[in-house]
Amino acid sequence: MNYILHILIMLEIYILLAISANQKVGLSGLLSLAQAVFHGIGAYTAAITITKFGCSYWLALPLAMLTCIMAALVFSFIAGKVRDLYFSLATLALQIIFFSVAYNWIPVTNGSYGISGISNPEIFELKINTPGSFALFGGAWVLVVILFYNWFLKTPICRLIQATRDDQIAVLSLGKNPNHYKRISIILSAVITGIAGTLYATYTTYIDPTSFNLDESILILSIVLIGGAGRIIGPVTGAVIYILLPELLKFMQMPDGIAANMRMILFGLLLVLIVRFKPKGIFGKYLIQ
Amino acid sequence: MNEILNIENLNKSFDGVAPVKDVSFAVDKHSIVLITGENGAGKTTLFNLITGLEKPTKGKITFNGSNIETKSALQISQLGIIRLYQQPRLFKNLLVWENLVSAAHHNIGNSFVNLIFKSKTARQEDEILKQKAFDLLTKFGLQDLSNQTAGELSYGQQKLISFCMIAMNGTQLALLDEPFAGLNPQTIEQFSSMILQMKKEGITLLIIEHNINKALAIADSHIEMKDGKINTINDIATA
Repeated sequence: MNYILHILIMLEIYILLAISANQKVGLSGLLSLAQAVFHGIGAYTAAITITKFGCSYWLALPLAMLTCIMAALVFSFIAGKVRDLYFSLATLALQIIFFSVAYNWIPVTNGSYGISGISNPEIFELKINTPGSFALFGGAWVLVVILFYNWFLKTPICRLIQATRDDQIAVLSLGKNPNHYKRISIILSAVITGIAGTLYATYTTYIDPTSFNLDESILILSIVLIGGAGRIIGPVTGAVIYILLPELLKFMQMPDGIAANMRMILFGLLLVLIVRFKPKGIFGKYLIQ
Repeated sequence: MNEILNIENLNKSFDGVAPVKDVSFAVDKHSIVLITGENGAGKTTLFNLITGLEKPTKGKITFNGSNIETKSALQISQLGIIRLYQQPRLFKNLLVWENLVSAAHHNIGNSFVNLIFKSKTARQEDEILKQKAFDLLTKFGLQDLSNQTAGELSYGQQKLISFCMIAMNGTQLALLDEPFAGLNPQTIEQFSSMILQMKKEGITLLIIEHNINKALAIADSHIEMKDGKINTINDIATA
């Protein structure tokens, strides 16, 4: 039972990560290779404030979100004006810089040893330290984010974010600043990734830089690509496929060592098939470009 | 003062080439000015200079009495000078009415802060704009397109919707770059009547067009450009 709940919690974290990537890649058309950076910033801020300053989850969370907002603001001012491949290259640079800082800034991040002893969240002195309670807690966050998008997708600002995705020059010629809408998208995505990062750090109680590297960023992007960008159902479906695929392999009674490799092989194969036969993904509205 | 746009001794040169040389003319409010000329005559560069996409080497552009030649493209479009490109630039993944509402000059819900703290007003204003978009489409006989995805429309329909977006924006001066190019005669007629309707509502229009006969039928004055200079200016209304 605990194992199933563990799978469920990981699914919830990946749903949040995929939804945040969808904000940037799907709604804004900004192909980001640095989704794991904001995940890492959220996780490290939570880990540091909890372990070094004794903050509670409820203080660590807004601090993590604030740090993500600040990082996204700085990044969007530097890279928000470039487009397409150049934006992707800027995110790649950010990913490399972040990993390098997380790995080498030992006094703060503890380098490759990572940070352990991160305490679980509490609600009114009720410790969320069992898989069941954490699954409910994570599920509540997923619900909050989905409800947010249920509202946000119908708002004028979201229409302009999507308009900027379709044609920046048209947005500009109508007297609106496309960079402003890209910036909002980058910040919003970073906030949701910050929530996921805090959830991840307080669930695993240990983080190290390898959880936030380029592989992770590409994986999050692939989840959106498989599920489809633009609609919330897309990233949710992508995350379900990614998390449940190895579990399905267990029914085939494959040894664990082989199953782990098979998971990546099958995921890669699925990615190739999607790109070839359904380039918008399973439930996608937009083509990722 | 009846002039909305005044251009004085406008020059543009790059790498020894001067696509616009000593161009001067004025545009009256609520008029339609047709600009013609062969390819390379400097018409598109002139539009680029007025909309701020390029900066003049020399000369002055005055809009409603204020100099705009040093302003950015965004600042100029915010003043109310909107350009319709030859290829329709729509938000292809949005519905037609969403395109129109997104084009509105002001919508309180375009700000995240307003969406949170003035949610009721933002919702009401968005509904008003939505209704305005439907009314505009109905006025031009395009109401059947309102719930279609813009990218799925035909080329001609996309051009008409792009023009509706200008109307929705509440612009003062519209620059139309070859609005009739690629359209069938029926759509040209529809587009012409839309342009005249917009003029009646107080919008000034500057039109580059190769289909001279059709454009002359609706224009108040005609500027002919040649080799970057103004060759002739004719006032059609008094001709």
